Amino acid sequence: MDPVRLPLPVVDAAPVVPAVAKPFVHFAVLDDLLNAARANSLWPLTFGLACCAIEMMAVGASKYDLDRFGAGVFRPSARQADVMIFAGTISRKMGPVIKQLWDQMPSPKWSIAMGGCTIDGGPFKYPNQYAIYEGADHLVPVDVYIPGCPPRPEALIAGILRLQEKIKKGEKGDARP
Amino acid sequence: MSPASATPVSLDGLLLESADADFAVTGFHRVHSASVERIGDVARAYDEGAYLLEMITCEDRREDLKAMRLVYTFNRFAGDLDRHVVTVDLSGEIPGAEAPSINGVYPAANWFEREIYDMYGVTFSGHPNLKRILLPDDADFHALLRDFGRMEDAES
Amino acid sequence: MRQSAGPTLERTDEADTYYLNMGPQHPSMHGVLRLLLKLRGEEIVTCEPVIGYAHRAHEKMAENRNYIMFIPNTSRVDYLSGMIYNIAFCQAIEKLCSIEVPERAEVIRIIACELNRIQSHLLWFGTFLLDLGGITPFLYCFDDREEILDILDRVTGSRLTYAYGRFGGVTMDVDQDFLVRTLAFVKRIRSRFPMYEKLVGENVIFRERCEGVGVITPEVARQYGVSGPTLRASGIGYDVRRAEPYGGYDRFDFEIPTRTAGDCMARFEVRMAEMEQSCRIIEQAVAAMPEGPIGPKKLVQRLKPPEGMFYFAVESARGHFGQYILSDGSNTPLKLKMRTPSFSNLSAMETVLEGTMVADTIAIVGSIDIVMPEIDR
Repeated sequence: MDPVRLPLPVVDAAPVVPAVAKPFVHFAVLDDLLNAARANSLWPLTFGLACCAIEMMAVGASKYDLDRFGAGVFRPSARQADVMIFAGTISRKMGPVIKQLWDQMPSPKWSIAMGGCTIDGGPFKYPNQYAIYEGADHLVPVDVYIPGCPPRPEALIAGILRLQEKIKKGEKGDARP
Repeated sequence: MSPASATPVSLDGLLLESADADFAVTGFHRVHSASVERIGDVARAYDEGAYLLEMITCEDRREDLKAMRLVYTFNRFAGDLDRHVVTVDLSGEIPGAEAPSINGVYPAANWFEREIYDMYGVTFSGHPNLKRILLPDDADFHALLRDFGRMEDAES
Repeated sequence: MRQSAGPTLERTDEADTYYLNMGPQHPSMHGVLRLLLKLRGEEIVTCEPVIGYAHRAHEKMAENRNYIMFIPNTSRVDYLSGMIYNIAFCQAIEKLCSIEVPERAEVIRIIACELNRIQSHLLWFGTFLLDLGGITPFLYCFDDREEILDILDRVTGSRLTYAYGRFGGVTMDVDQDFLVRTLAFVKRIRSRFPMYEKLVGENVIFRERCEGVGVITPEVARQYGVSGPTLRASGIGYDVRRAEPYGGYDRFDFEIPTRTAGDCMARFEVRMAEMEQSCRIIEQAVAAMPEGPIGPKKLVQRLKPPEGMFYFAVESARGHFGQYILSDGSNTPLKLKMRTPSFSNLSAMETVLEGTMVADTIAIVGSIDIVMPEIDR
């Protein structure tokens, strides 16, 4: 009996993967399977910074129920989490802590910038400000940006679905410099 | 001390100036000013009258007064509302003016004084733990000083 | 983040103590609070809260922009009682500049603020139980809470960070549907209180973890300037809505629930009783809703506040929120100081937590209901 031939995924087509991160051996079907598993069992870190954290809690609670998308298991420890949702303003004092938490998370890992503050400083950005980092991407690589102040729960769900698509395609968040 | 035993405060000889204020307009019942040396005694008098320290804040008023000004507000739980404000003018370098801490009288002053040190660079003598509270420990500026972080000074 | 014991190890009486760092990322620290605990075994010797991880420079921004431009900031100071903060700022400026508010706008504001207060207490109730290990109440509360958010969302266009107030009124008028849904919600939440009482208030595990834990005496409350439900659980019936009525609260009949125990259980009971009182205010306000305009006849184009010092206080869901404004007569404040309730409430923790067990820390810090960006501003 002939073996079933599956089409190989075009790995080189992913533009965000730099040359050094190309896998030496391709496990095409296995990679797809692993990515599908990863995408559907995202464990976010229990970590709120400000207002957006309340909407993040609302997404995890009864009405919006993030468990439907396999992303409702909020982990208290960075060592067990694989997606970090930046939910709120990143102050200058908090920046180093976030960097450390991100470094503590095991790969593969992804991040979502939730709300205006983590995109560019949001409502707290003004010329000559001293208090905040103007965007989470000053500290760590970001996979999905969700606008809003705070974004509605539906927007966060859309962001998580977008991240799942990305993971299924094999785009790795932490591969970028 | 139960709040019911609240007595009017005796501030005789402790104040530089004292005046009634229109509560409906300003939100204060009395407006006082005291010298920097006597603020500890003023706080003690309020404490004996079972008043609470609502807040301490600071104003950078160098343009008109060439000085910093500390603002203390006191209020009470028992009886009718009676909000007093005591202002204390500080002289000296900006930042670096000095005032005595009233942390020994009101523990609430601890964080308020640390915040003023953080934001205005006013040092409080006798404070047990005077270090930055809101800004990172390695910050080299005092954020609420008039000449710091003005929007119009930004390079466009 | 690790804190070494340092030179204290050299002293014999300190030899059996060690430091425990909680936060700023900790599942039970509300937001980004960090507690530096010095422990002897499981007993807390000293506790030093480290704050500032959510400092967003609201006060500096107030000095950098005029009063109208500052309105969106206000609800972000304390996003759980964002409506109360937002309206409070408008009320402060109205008082400062002597702007009249139509009666209908006042009543709408009171309904919105009390809905906001119930919402805040519900969220506190859910997360407090979550901290203590009960997940079910969290799901029930959020179900109730979403109803409030929907009602407010319909008129304000926002779920958490409202900019509903304007100087002299509110942005949008409410319709009949708003009033009907509000009354339906009051009926619904009333039917839930007995369930919450049975599910949580009579729960033996919950009572064991809360009764006699984290007692704040009236004297400690006064010395630290504690306010809000935390103060009223210590037997002092001080509520800004009653002590210095603002915004038309003196027209409504409500009680100020107090307890004398001062422990976590008392704080729980006070908040639950306060939700019922908020329901009463809402019912009276809906019944008394007058017809008329919701804003000033002529739009306030340029504010002309008088010079001088000015103070305005309101009762937020967490306590006494005071705004100290120093004006030079222009439409930008020289200084806007926000006296936030959690700042003082949390500063009392260094005394309250001393001598308690480390496992009770979560219950005690949870029970005072803190919002970190409100503390750090």
